Amino acid sequence: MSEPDPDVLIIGAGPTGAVAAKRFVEAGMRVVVLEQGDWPDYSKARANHSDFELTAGRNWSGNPNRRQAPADYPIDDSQSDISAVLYNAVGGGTVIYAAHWQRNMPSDFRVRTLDGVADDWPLTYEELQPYYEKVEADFGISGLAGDTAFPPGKGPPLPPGPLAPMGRRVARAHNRLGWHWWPAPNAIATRPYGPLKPCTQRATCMWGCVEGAKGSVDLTHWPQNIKAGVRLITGARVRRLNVDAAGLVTGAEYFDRQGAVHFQRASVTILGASGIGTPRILLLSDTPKFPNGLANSSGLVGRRLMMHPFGTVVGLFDEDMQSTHGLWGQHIHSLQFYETDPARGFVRGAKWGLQPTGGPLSMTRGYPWGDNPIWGANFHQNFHERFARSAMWGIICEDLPETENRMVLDPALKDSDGIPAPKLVYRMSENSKRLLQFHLARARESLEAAGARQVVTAPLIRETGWHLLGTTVMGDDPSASVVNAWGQAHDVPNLYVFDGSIWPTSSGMNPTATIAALALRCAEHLVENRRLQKVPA
Amino acid sequence: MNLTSAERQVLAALADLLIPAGNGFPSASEAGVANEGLDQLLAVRPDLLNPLKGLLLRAQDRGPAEFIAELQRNDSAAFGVLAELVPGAYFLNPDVRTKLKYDGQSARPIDPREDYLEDGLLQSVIDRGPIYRPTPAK
Repeated sequence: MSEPDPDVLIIGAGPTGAVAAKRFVEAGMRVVVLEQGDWPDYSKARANHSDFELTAGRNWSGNPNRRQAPADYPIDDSQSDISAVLYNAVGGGTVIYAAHWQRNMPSDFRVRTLDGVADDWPLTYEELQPYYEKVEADFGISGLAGDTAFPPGKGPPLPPGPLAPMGRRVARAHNRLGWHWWPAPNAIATRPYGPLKPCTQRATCMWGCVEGAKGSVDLTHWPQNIKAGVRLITGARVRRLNVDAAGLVTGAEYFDRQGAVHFQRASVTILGASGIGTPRILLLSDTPKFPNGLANSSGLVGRRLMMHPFGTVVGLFDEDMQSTHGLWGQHIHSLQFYETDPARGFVRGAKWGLQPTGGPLSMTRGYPWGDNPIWGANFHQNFHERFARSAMWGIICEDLPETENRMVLDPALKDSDGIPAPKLVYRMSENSKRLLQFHLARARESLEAAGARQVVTAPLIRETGWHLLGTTVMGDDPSASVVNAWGQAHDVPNLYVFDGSIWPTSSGMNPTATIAALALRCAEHLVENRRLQKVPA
Repeated sequence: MNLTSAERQVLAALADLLIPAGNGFPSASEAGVANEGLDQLLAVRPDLLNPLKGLLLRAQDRGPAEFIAELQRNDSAAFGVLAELVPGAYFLNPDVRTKLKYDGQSARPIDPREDYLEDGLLQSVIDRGPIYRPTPAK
């Protein structure tokens, strides 16, 4: 006797899929998950080896074009100012994220109302707040309640990491300037917590955490989900969703790693494949009834791509900052210039996170040091001015949605299964450029006020598209959005998108906190309304 | 690791221009960048071998200073190979690491001391009050 069809099929085993699957299986639903990657191989994590800095980029690169792992699909980024960064594996982007755990601020949900641009979200901060609190417990977040940049409420379950010498210095400077700072929230365990061990400050969070201290969902969710009954199929690359005569999704066709095609039926299908993977699957799933791709009557699938232009400013200090180590991660964050000030000549803002600068080889590379000379007669002096004596602000700039910034199917490029690859068409807007320049200048002032003997503004680099947002926008109007406030496709009632693709605006925050909270809110709604859910016959 | 002694000599000359001796630290060649350091590096980064060999071929019969200056001016990719490989091998040297007091990205358990509470640091932020714009009323 064959197994009954699952209630829910989830595509993608990143944070979206992990959070949603957890909620569904808790509600007694049958859940199948398709993930094109495998489990991360932490035997390739080299943080505890002398060659760490040499090998980190090879094994843990976030750029699939560089990584070229069997699970990766190529991305044509030749017409994009920024290259996409993602990770195809159980855990998705959380395997390589820096674990900056930032809630959005209330204004992020009301950009049209407050700043007269883009769109409001069909929900408020207050509606999302209980879901933030729940997922923060599940991910083992460290931080401190009471941050003056957010409404009051419950804080994360673990205490924050140390400010460290760099954080204390900059915090004192910000207090003198009257600028905001706060002990930074991170998805990094500072104490033993469930499956997580405490962080040991190797500053290697993005290149394979050897301690098991980072709240990545391959640790915090998937083993528990599987134990609870979720069926996770790895090496499963979806090529299209199928639709019945009634216009309902019946499931997904996928290739296994041997190239065989399978079909997974389900009552409801949920996409959590990233701001590139999700619209790609919808565009691949065209039919005579949906000639422009599934759920695309608005024409917005793949459009409004937002990627957060990223800037870095480094300060060099006379004293030991112990900056080879720490949280990478962030020690403090500042949201002083996050809110709009029309006098600045642009709208919206950016979040700053203060980080260490790493080991010796990192002192000689083009990023973040740019053309600042190090080689030759003064090598050792230049090196020692940087090594262990530097700290850097990483600046996440809000990127407003523009319909011409988009992901499309490439007419020629294909992945290893012959599926059309995504192509990015993205240009940084004038607003984003002004915003970035303003924040780089203020961050310089911050580090100078902290006593930096020299401040270096890093060159902009392409491989910073960690945050892939907006490509299946949510909203109440079916002609101007792809999904509703619960992630349900306007055109296909048993098809949902829960990931960052549905964000109407990008905020200026690292997005995983809101991706997770939103996925839980959407999943909760589906659970509560499952008896009303239309499903295929 | 497939490099001739002549190639290693060319590399040593180039490497010493990037990292000469100074401040009590050895030069690149003294630290074995063209010998055991290079072998150790190529064992974990074999992808750098062919670009390196191509670069050393071009450097033959050229003055090392002139060659490096030309790479920096006109061939950032080739210079990038040198700029990764030379310090990469240099900082693998145990004596250099000892002099730097650097024991790798070693474990440093978190001190549970709440340093954000010291000297009234955080109170100053709290006293300045909220900085967010609340959700506007409908």
